[in-house]
Amino acid sequence: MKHSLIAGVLGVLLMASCDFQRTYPAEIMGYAPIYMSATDQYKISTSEAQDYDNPGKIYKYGNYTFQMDKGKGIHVINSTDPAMPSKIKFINVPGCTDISIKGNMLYANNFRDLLTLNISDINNVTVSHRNKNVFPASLESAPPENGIYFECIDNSQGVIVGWEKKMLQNPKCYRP
Amino acid sequence: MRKLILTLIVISTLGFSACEKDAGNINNGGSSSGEGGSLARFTIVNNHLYTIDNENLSVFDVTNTATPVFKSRVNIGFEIEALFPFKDKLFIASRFAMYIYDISNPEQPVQESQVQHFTGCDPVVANDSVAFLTIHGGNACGSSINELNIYDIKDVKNPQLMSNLPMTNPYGLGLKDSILYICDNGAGLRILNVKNPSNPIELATLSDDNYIDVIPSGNLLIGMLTDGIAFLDISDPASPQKLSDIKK
Repeated sequence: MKHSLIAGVLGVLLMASCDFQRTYPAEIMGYAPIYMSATDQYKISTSEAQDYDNPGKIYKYGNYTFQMDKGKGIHVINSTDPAMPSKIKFINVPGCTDISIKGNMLYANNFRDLLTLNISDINNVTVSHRNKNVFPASLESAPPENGIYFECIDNSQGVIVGWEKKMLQNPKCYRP
Repeated sequence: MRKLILTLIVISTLGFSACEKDAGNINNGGSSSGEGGSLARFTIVNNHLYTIDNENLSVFDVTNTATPVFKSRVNIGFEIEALFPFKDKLFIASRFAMYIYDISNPEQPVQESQVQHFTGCDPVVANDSVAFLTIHGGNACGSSINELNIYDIKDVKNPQLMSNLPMTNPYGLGLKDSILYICDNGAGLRILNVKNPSNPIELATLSDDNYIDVIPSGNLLIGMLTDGIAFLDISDPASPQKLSDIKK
């Protein structure tokens, strides 16, 4: 938690650094963090194909194409015939934004951990390894837009899994 | 006080990086790695996985692919956005600068140069001699720059601007042969001939979809869209033909 606190403080300092004179409106459109509790952060599972929520980065490995759903997990797409691709699975990896694959091992960020998943049988994905606490608390330490107000981060509520755009009341943070 | 607005950047390279040449032998058993887009924060070079978070570059030994071993961490700077490997170099893009690290010793990345005159944003890269960099502006602390910059990087420590082109809001890039694909959010997928990097020629723009990033992989171009994914045939690189998409 110490690191996340430091990261949070640094993040706020960084965001505030652009304009110390800023006034904060009583009501304005901006971003609010979406939190996840500590117990749910590291639950990994595979489910049937899902619809997109917030489509993210892509990665190609042989006949498969993977696409992140920001903060939620990984869509597995069979692209053997690129004219008829189909989603075949969804791997639930909370906090995931990036992956890389080598030798049927998929590496993903799962909040502070580097997760290694064995995908040699895509229908039976298993956790092979977990390098704990190698990343900062969150890669989502700032809202996904510049020049925007946001609800300040409260690390006591868990980790941030995303940002929701909505009408804010008395926001005290701003990303230049 | 600096008033930087630019956010993202990306990288691309002529003839995709050497470490990925054996990609495609998917299924079971091989030790090949796959192919990521230009916005990637993870990349594998031979037996090492490099990751970036907002401030650091971390190195993992993945010789034993099932159990990565954390090796080292280097503090790079603030707001790191993307990394791109090329031969024994890593190009790292931040909101404020482009960093070039030498990874001849894979577990001990050494900073070779830091280029901040990219108007404060992110970079990316190219073949042995040319780097392509997109800069997209926000609307925050000042004006807004949206453009493609092409740099001569024959001297990696002293990149020279060769040309630039105005863009709408560019993100990821991809390169096949001498054709550059630029994901210009709001405008579409722009197709440029960059055979002469001093004088890039716009060929066409596919404006039906909102592209954020692309992966050129052989004759296939895979596009990350704001609302899903698209697959295009690039047997003729100058004339991509959309094959399919999956959307929200």
